[in-house]
Amino acid sequence: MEKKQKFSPEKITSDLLPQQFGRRGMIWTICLVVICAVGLFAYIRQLQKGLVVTNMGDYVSWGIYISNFVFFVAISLVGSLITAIFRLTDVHWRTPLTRISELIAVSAITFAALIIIVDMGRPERLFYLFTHGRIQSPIMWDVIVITTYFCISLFLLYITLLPDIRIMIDAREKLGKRFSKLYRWLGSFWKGTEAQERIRNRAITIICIVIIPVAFCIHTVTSWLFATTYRPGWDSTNFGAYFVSGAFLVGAGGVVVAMYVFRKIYKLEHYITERHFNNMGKILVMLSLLYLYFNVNEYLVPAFKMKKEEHEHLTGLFAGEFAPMFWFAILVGMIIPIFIVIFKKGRKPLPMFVAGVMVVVGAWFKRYLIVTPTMLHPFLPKYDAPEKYSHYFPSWEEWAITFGSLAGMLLIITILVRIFPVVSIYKTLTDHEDELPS
Amino acid sequence: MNPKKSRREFIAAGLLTTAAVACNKKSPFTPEDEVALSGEKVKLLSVNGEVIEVDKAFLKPVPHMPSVSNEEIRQGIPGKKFVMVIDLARCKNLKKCQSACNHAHHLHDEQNWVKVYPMQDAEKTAPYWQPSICMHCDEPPCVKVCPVDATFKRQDNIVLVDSDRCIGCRFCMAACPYSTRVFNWGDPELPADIVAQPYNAETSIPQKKGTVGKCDFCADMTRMGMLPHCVSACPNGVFMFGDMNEDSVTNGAETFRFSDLVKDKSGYRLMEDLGTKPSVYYLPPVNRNFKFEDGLPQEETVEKKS
Amino acid sequence: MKMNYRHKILIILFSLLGFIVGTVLAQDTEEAPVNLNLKYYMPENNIPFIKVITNKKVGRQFEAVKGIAVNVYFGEVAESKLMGKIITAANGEGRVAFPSSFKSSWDSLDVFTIVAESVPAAKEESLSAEMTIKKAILVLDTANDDGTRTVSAQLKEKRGDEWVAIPEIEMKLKIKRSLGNLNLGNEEIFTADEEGTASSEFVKDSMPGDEKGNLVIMARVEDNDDYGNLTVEKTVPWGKPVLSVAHVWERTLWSTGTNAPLWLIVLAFVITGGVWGTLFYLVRQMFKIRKMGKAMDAEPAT
Repeated sequence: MEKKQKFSPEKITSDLLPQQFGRRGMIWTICLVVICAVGLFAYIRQLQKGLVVTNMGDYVSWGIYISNFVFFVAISLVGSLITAIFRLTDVHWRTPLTRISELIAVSAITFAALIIIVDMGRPERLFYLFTHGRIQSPIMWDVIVITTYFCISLFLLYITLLPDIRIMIDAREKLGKRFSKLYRWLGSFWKGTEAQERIRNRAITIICIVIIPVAFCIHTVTSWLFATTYRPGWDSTNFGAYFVSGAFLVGAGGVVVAMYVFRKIYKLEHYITERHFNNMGKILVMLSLLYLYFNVNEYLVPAFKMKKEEHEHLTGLFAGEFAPMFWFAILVGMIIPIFIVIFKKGRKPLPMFVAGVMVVVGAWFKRYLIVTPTMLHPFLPKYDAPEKYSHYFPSWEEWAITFGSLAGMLLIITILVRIFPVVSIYKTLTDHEDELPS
Repeated sequence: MNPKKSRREFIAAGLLTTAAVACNKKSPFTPEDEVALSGEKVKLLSVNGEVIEVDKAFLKPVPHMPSVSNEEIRQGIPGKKFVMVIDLARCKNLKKCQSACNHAHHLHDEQNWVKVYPMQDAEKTAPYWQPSICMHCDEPPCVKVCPVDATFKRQDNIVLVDSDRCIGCRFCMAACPYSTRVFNWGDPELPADIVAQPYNAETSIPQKKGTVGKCDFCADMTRMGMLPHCVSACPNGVFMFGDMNEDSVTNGAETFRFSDLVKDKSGYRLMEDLGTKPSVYYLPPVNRNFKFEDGLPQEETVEKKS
Repeated sequence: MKMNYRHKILIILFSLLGFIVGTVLAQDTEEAPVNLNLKYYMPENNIPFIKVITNKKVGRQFEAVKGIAVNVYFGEVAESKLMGKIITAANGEGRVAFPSSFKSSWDSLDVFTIVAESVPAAKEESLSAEMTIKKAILVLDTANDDGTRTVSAQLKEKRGDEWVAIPEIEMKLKIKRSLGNLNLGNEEIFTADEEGTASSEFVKDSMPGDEKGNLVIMARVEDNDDYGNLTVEKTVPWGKPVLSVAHVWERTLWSTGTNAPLWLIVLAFVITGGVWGTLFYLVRQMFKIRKMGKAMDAEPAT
């Protein structure tokens, strides 16, 4: 373990306070806004003309929107992993990672909810879900559980932010006036008294306990959207666990990527240390292996039997139309990261970043592979329908909206990071005090 | 015998028995109560020369059916259990069923509620033509997953879609193992007078952008006591439609006792193992009226898909 | 010579082409003529009526022609013999019955003629149709001897004051069903014997009937050149009683939202209630913290 440097509380505070965008930050933000705007433009076109602007058809009736939705839901699970599970298991080095994972969770679940509305043929009838809802439908369960998870994630983010808001209010001379009103509105009542602290700590513990089953639910229920149908590739009792394990993997990958980026940009080398990368690397290997295990279950067992319906689907994945993407997702999304990260040298920041990107990109394609190939293999032949329905490649509108939503998620993170500290100042300070010899 | 005609005679006879002659011959299968009486009376001669006063509706060639509310449509017709039998031995892939259906429901070319599949169960077995429509399952997987009650199972076995309710999530399409549902991806491009009509789930007209559509067993026709369009359009009598509670199915020309037919000809349902309990039965393609090749579209080799 | 030969071929080819094009065009432009048909119906030996049908041939099928005005006369075309004016409906049909004002001539005739004439629009020619019908009734009888149930029917023609059974008439004996009628015996068509009786054994055991097991059986004469279409029904207790019970909407996964299974509703409420209850509790705790903070703000700083 590297030598722990000791800093004065003033230095820690000034290091971690949110900073104004530099030039790179501005360009980055503008790029994201532009991509979002293109996505929004594509969505307006879709609203006007209908889903006909997509390349979906009566066979592939769920396309890239749904796979993107699954991706967002998956990555949002990380909030519960890092904050809740690590807190309850008393993992001490979690401090600089919790805020990052909570930000990812809130932004991802927001866009999961938005992208599912984008997929609707009649978005203006969204309120029917509340006025005419049918509790038997897994979609209804998803609506309930995603709303719940969104609220819990937001609450978790807020409650852990409170002491930092106090610190920012106190440091208003340094921060300028821009957000001081917002800070005061959000947390001027937080005085950090013992009584307040006691209630807050208890609340965090409770919410950490609650968020774990809810997080499991969001992805399990999302997997049930598929697993409750008869289709080959979806008709699996393994699906819930398979999805949740994949979600933890992509979440961990996302956190690793974000750790690396924030460390570089905000010069947080002293706070997000190589030790953190090392530890996250071990977790990443474990989660990759876990997901790989579920993948073996998911593909080997039906491939062994090769039922008629599964046959076409599986051969399409292993050696057919989708084979390049399939092996890309397996190799890049799981196996190569394992081989990078399993070695101690691979758990340095840069290789970890590469592995994290691989995991996230691989995971995105994995979600695409879960949705589309199955839809292309219905039970009855694809016949008496337009030829274009027997293939699927997303249209530019679909790509634009997908990238727009991904950019939107990053934009939310960027904006939140501009307003709030990316690493909890308060927690870093208290950790620091604890470590000082008494 | 044209079933439509015979039906109207029933109605006429029904009107006579109820409106004119005090004779209790009311059959449980003649829904004369549904026919709206005009209230005006005419004096007509009987064959014996008696003068009988009857309601003017007796002289209407098309019985006027009172309109039904959405609530009634969702309930279905009490006492009925509609069922269809498709005789694969008779199908020649003429697709008259499909064109009649598309015409009646104003579907555009890219949508087919009736599909005629070339099927071959195993490599060595003979190919055959299989018309497929919505199976109107007793335990419909599509209805199970609908989040807003937009698609529903009625007491008369019919599964319908309320396009005014559908939010376009397409879960039902993913859930249906029979690939029977189609989606209005774009504007259905209907004539203005049809677009102006209020949506009726029994006619499934007008189809609406961003909502799902499928075979409706021609619930409007069955309410009038007429056969679905695919049934009456088929020149080979492939489709037989009826009421399980009456134990009879008809293709217009012939009527069979349903229970005898499916027993004698070893009827089966598609994908029985999925537990969906379809209301559409198939009779196996044995002793066929046509060769499979007769049904092939000219100059087109069929892709054999298993 | 060779040139000549080629010319000949060309000429033949061109004339052939011309002929084909001509016929195709002719087929395209020439509208199939509208047909006017009459049919006589005699349901339940009660009020007879005449069905006026207007259609035209499209391809191989007949398509209904609607909106044609037709006058129907009793016996001959004359103002005084006008039975009724109809305009054919969407299905190309119209109906006319015998008004009570024709009683005297109706009573005096055993055989009568119906003439129909369309009311032509400006350029059109008038269509006309005529049919002659012998007045008849159809009598249906049933017998049940030691479990053997037979149905017999007679077509009786009016001859003066008497109704005489006619032999060799083809008729159908059916069980009435709502969409298409089911044969009650093993045959489709029965021919009346020398005495004019067509009979069949009733072989369809335990057909579903009404609540008391009543079935409606019927005899039909269809499209007979002399007698038209006759139908008569009779209710017999030969069916299986089918009790009409009100449909019960069960609580299943495929029922409407209001009929969701109870276990599911309970489960959903317990889970969401538990989670949201906790969440509301935590929000209340937040307000508690807030109140503490505000209270401190209110106090003067020490």
